[in-house]
Amino acid sequence: MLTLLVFLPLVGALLCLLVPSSNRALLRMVALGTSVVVAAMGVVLFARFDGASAEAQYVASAAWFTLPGAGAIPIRMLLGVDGLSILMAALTAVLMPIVILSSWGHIGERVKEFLVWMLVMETGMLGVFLALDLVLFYFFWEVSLVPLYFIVGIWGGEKRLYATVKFFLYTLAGSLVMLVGVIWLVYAAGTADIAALTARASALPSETQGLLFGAFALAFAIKVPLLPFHTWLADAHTEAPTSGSVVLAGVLLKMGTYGLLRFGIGMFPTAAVAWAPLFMGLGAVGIVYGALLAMAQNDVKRLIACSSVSHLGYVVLGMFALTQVGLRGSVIQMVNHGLSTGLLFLLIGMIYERRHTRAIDQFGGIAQSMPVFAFFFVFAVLSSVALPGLNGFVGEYMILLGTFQASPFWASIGVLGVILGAVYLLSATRRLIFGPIVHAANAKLADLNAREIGLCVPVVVLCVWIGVAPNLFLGKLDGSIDALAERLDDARVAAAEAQADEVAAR
Amino acid sequence: MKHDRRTGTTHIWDAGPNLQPDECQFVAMDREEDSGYLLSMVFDRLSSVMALVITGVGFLIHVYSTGYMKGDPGYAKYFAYLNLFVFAMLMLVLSSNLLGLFVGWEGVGLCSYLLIGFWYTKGWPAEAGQKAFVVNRIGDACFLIGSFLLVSLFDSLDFATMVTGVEGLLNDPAATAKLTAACLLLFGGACGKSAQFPLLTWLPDAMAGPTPVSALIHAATMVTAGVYLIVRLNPLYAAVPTVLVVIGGVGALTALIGASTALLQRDIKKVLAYSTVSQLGYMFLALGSGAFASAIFHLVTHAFFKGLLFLGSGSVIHGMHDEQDMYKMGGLKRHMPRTYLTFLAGAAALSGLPLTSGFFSKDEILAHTLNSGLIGVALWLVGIVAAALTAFYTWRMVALTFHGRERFDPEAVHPHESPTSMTTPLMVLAVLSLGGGLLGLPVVFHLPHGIASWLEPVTAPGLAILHHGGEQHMSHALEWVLLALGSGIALYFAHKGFHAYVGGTEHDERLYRARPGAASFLRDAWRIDSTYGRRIVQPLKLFSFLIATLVDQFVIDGAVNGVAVVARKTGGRLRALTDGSVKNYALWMGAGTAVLLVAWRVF
Repeated sequence: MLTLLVFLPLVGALLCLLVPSSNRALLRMVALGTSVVVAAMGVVLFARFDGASAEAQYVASAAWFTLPGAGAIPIRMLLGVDGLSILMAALTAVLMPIVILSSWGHIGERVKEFLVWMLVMETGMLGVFLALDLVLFYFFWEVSLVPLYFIVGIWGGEKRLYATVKFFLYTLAGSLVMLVGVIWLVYAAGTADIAALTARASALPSETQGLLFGAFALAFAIKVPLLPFHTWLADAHTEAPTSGSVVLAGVLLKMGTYGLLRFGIGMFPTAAVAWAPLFMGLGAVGIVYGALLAMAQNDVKRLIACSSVSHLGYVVLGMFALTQVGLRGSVIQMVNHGLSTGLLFLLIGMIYERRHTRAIDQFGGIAQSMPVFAFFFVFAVLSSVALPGLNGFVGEYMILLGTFQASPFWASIGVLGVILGAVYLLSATRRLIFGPIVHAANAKLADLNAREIGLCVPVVVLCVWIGVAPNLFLGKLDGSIDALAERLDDARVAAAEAQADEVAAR
Repeated sequence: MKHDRRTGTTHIWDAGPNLQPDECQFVAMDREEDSGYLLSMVFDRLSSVMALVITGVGFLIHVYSTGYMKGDPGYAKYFAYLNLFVFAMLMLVLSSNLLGLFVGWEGVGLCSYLLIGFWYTKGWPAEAGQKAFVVNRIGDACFLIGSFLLVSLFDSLDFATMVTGVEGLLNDPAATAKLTAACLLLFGGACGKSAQFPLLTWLPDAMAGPTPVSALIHAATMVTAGVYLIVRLNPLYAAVPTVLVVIGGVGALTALIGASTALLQRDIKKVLAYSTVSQLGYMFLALGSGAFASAIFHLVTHAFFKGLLFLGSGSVIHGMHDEQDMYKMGGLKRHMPRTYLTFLAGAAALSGLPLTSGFFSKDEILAHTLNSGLIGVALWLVGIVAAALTAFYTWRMVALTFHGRERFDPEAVHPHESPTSMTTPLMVLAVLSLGGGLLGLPVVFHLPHGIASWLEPVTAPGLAILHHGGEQHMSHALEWVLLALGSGIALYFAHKGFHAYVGGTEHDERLYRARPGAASFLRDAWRIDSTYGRRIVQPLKLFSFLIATLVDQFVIDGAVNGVAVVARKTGGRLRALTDGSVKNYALWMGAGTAVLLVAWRVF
């Protein structure tokens, strides 16, 4: 099932290649149809997944090639889903039809290439979340990044080349560091199987573990992006076409946080325990820093991009609290950010298509001309500021509670984001959609059409669902997070013993 | 009526077998492991009082709104918001744990935000709504951290668990320190929601919303949520008396700020807004002296008379074609007699004229304050001063609005009485404002105190901790003296206020001439808001600007662009590759993969 899930979008991409570029309607139908089928499979996978188990499920395995060297390490086409990846995979599958459907409005040129890239990217992203072989993971990682490079570079805004080069440089740097880490780890442990690596990594010398953790953490921190590696994000988001921004916020950034969780914390718990204060600090400072950045923006897309820095700060903060509640909150917050920020980018795209500007001061009062838009926008903002009853609250509350158990100080810094988030998002809302209509062009804007409403509704439903009944989603994490927390406890005990030995030796 | 021999209390209402022992669990919906998130509800005596106020006053305000909002393009939206509010407020008072309460707490905040900004096209209501939300969020951030501390103390946020568990912490200094911090932080949350100093600045601005909203949300129910929270957790607060002193101090200060600011407002709704701030201050003053039941008593009577006054002012504004400036009113009693008479009832209760509901509830608070030690005496003095100011500004408002000559243009404005849908709720509330004192008569009357005995099961654990079983009772003689003093002050200053303004607005002008500095200081609400603007909002904006330009673009991005300059030529060459031909891209990808594989083999 997973093989089909991962490679179906690639098949769709190949089908698109066969359709002549002039037949846009057929191209769009093929791409949308493929992604809808994938989404349906994703939902089925989610529903059938057994959250109580920590084991990888629906494992598919096939030989790929063999790395030469001391032990002739086999690289396998190994796919599987566990508690850490199920939500990410399902989110990717569900978001993609929305992303592809949203491109109707703003991709008019070179439609065929665009759709092909989108589908290739979907295969890459699903592969990243489902790969259980480290080399395969790296392969999918690269596959998912290249398409975005083209999507921003070809269909982006005015400064797209600057944004693309910046994005490329960052990605390259991150990928190279990770590649070094991958090669080193695979040869040091003699396997590329992630489950086996996870078991064997703790047997490596502690210095090696520290360095490998550093390599992976750096690569993923750039992707998240964690302070101070965040400056590519605002440019990439601002210049990307709407659909690119939605994928970037919704899924691609989560590859970074997912990587931190599975490879940073999961493989090197000892190093993670040692480095946790630094990452908690970067996360908490990132929350405040991102919020302050967002407050100063007049370009609404850039504002949402900066808010991403702030929201992902929460994810990292909760993750490196290394507590049960914090880890769970962090995973659910990845989904929440994908939904609410994705929705915000979709909505911003809709008014950009109507006014061809993103400057906040060009708007104002559009709740009068676009009441349906205003409803969805306010909803997305409320979800983003973590109103109880909506998804964001579940994540933020659990993250802050989990962090408080580990470090009251960083939790108190993080909680400032609760205030600042309301400041910049509500202020943007007021300036965009409330107040009198100042610019005549805003008086006659057409409200959302059926397609646009259709894009928003599934996201809104999910936001409410997670907000009201989070256990359906959190329950899928139980087995894997419990196992992870157990290994973290072992690492803490071991670290305490090592320290005690050291003291005794002295 | 039923007398309980065992406890020696007399119940006016028999709770009946179904409600014993004082609570019943309704639903258990959802559970989040580890964080103790149990969405469940409890209907006990305290929530029954709150629920009655919410649904009772809420019903009257719904009826009133059908008249007030008639013809508004957002009629349906208005009632949708209003009902969402009632849902959230009931959620707040019926939840059996702090997290469920917080869901309602933020929910009412959302409705407040939406309803303050209801007439958003005017611009400033939208700003006022945003301000309310943000200021409340400051309190909520404190609330969250406070709740985390409670989780660390009790492993639960369930009220019953915390209330019974607190006794076990009393002799543990570390736990008491944590509890002190938690209670202070939760009080910070209450300060936001209930507009106490220093978070009071949003409430006067909240008057931008429709007037029935001001009556329901910003007078009768939502703003009292902070009082409810502390009464709900009364044993926790009783265990940390220092926090109670802080609460009393903040309450007294807020009562004074509110009452003195209301003296010089021109906008009738602003008078009532600052009056609400001040009356909420009295409720916190009561909490500070451990008089939890008195705080709820005042909460109930305040819901009656302030709801009435807001609705009355709405009737005036409605009849004056959206005029809110009292300087442009005067002599309205002839044009709107029903509004006038009911408004008098509300004014009598607010100013504490003898035998009205406000008289009994306020005097009870002041008596308890005086009885709570040396600090209590100082706070009592502040409370007495605020009471005098209250009587003065209330009757100034009555005189300016309904008496004296008509200061509006009779050609342009034709004041008229409001429809029955609006005046009927006024009459019901007028009866309650005048007679609501029956719910809690003073001890010296030798009649049962309805609210105190009804709430006894809720407040008993807190009082037991606070007084260690033996509360000092006041002598009856002193109580009579206090009642007489309260009556005297109310009557004297009501008389002064009315007569100073019955002739017109000249008294204000005399004040501005005689003491320009002091008068404008009071008018601008002690300049708290402008100080925040200058000391917090502006620096924060500047800081965010500096972060975005200097730090982010110059320092961090500067470093990145330095690298980029080196890579630019490479980038230029790369651009040649991105010619848009999928075939070429595929080729390059394939080539890249091949190179990597070869590299690995060699390695």
